[in-house]
Amino acid sequence: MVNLKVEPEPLIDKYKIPVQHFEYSYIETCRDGRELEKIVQVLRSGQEGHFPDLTRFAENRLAVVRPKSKLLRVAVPVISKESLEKDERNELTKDLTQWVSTVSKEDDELSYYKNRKSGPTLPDVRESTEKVLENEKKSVRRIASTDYSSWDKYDPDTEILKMDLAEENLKKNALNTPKKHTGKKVHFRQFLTDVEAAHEANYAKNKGNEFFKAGDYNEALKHYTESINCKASLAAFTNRALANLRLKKYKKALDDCQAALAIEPHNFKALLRKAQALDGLGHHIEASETVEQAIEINPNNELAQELADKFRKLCGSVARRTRLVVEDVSDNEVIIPIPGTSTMAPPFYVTCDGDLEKIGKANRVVHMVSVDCAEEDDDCCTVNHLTRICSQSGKDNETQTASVKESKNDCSFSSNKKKCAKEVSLTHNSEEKALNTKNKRQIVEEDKCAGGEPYTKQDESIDLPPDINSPYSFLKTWNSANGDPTFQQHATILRSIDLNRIVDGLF
Amino acid sequence: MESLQRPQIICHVQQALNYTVHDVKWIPCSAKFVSIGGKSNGAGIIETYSISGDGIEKVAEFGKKDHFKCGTFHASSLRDRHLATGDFSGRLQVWDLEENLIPIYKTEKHRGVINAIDGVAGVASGCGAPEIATGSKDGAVMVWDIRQKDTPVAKFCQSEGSQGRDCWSVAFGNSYNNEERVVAAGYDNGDLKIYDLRNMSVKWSKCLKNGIVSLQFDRKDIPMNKLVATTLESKIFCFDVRTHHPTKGYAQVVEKAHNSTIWCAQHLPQNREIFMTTGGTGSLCLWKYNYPDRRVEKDADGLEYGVAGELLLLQNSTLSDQPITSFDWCPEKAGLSVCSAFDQTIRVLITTKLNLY
Repeated sequence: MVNLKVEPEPLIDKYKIPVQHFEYSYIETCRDGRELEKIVQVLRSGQEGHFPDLTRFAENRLAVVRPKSKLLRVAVPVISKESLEKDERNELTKDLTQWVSTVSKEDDELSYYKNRKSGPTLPDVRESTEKVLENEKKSVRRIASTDYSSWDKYDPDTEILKMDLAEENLKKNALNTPKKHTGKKVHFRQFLTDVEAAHEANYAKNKGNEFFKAGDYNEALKHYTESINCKASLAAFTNRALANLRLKKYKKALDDCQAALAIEPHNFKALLRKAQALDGLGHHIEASETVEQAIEINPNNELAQELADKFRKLCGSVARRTRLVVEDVSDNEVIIPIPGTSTMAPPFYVTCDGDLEKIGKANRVVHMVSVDCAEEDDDCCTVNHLTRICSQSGKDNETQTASVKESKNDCSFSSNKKKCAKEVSLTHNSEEKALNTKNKRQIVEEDKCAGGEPYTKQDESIDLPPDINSPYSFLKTWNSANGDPTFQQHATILRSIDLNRIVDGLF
Repeated sequence: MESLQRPQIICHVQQALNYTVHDVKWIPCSAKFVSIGGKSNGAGIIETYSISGDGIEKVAEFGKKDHFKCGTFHASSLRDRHLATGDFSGRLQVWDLEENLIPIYKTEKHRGVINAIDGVAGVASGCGAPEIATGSKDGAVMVWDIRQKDTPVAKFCQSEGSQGRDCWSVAFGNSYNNEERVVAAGYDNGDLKIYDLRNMSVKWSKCLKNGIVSLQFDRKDIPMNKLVATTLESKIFCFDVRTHHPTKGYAQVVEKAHNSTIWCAQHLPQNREIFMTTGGTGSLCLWKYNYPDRRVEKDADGLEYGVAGELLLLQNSTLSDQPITSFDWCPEKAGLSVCSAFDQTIRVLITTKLNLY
């Protein structure tokens, strides 16, 4: 299906495109954007005849191969207002009318202050100078090819040396040009009218935005500051906060966010950037709170959601660092019952005399869910030591179990603190205590990996007498709990009593 | 879908006039603009229009002896908003639009028509004294301070006796503090020169081969960033003037558009990467400059050189069949603009969706 007769024509010859290429099958598979452009140009020129369909086909193909091609630029007529949709037109008119009314007010205010001098802030008049431009004539005379005496004197080596020297000098000068002096200048700005101040502030803010978009954050920062100096505005503060964030000046960013929030307490951007700044400063928990506030205002913002997710994970990892990870283990590993879940025996306690750091480093599987360093008066560690426990736990194999693996990076066990490792989840009371005393020790309430029924407070509704530590009331409470097949009440009782007494055998 | 996201240029209102319009300018901080031109009998005229949601309305006009060629508000404060104009007989005049019987300031130093005018530091403080630059047919570029009578504060011209090239365009830039300032000038032979006003020297010059019709720095009051020059024969040059290399000079990107002289390039006041060019075939092109991943690279000798980005055509529209000679963005309202064409019509345009870029 050759569409063209072979006729030597200027354009097709100039581009040297074989005539076979003017064909649907070739154009369809052609990936060379340049050639397609040439084909389109030849077809459009009409020198080879008019092939409207093929031209369109080639253009479409070009749009696929090279969408930015200049040949595809089409000038569309300017849309007249009458041809717009009615509501679109109304919106434009409304917008414009609104702007006209606001700007007219400013205009009137400015006219009122017309011809008033703004004070001696203007720099001096420049010293009058005149620069006469010489026509740079080539001063180097060319040596005529017949001028043999001159050629005799001509030494190519010195000429080359001269050129090299000149080039060297050029480079040296370029390198030695003094960097722009960065002396600090203080500008005093006086504005006669509010309008002028607002105008200047807005202008400076816009300039800041432009630098920001171009990636020049330092310059952007300068202009935002200028804008704030002229007239403080919410946008300038939030923008400067962002610029500070990009420059990793988190403290300053935080200050800016606070300033913005002082202007508008529930500003989404300000909250979001505050969260980022707090994140940068390492205050993850506050950051997470702030971002939750931001999400309340604008739940659909992706960045906010991402940030919230990140904090959730981070807080998880913070907890992980201070706590133990609960993991499912396979059969060949040690399996221990987890109390707090249904149909389980009360936990085993094993005293561990070695300090926790060693255990942590050993990376063994231990049955331990929370390590609490809150109680300063607990001076011993209670750990369900796996090596000892596994034989006893064999009978519980059929129950749903999980074990806890101590995370390897458990570096936050500071040896100077007294620690107490308790079996499984603490009661809520001690949980709160733990949180209050040491913020970083967090209890993960839902340990999905632990399996079994989730631990809830309602399950163990037992009234503990205040003197539970006395043998009599302990026994009384213990016996009253006998009706509970899940042993949860027992667990509660055991949790509530002072462990030291068990350890010391005083009970 | 993508086409819906592109900026659209909408013609809000158009008004036919009975004279040739050479320039249009928004009056800062108001809903008004001026049209600057001249009648067929040779008289110059300046008209003030105010816009509303529905249309435009002429609020004032005054006429003078000679065609006004160009004007600027940029050297005047927001309170005063004095218009500086250049006219066909080479006079620079500064007008109070309400009391226009005699100009506030006047010089007649140029010997030919003032083709181009630019002002600086009127509104923004901390970037030097307000000054006006004029470029004339006599080949001279002069810088004026209206506090100094009769003599320019700086003058760049050819030596006496030799006729300089016709200067077609001037633009201020690099005025980021009280000392630094440059003025760029484009000539009819394609010469582009950047004059440093601080030490009165030629900072850089380059020949673009075609006459330079319009010049503009993306911003005047920041360290030189970008310079756009439009020429005859439908070329747009966009220079990255941030980094200068001793041999390579400035990085540049060249685009061809409009298929005719490109009369005017104007940067959007709200976003310096976006600019509009207007062509001799009555078309408008809206461009966006995209920076490269790294703007500055180092060569083998450790010298820095700039890397050019690319120009992205956001919109290409035809408005008229005559050249669009001037275009001005409204400094306050993003997307609002006014333009004039040789068909003796002024049009108020609205460009939508500019905030997306």
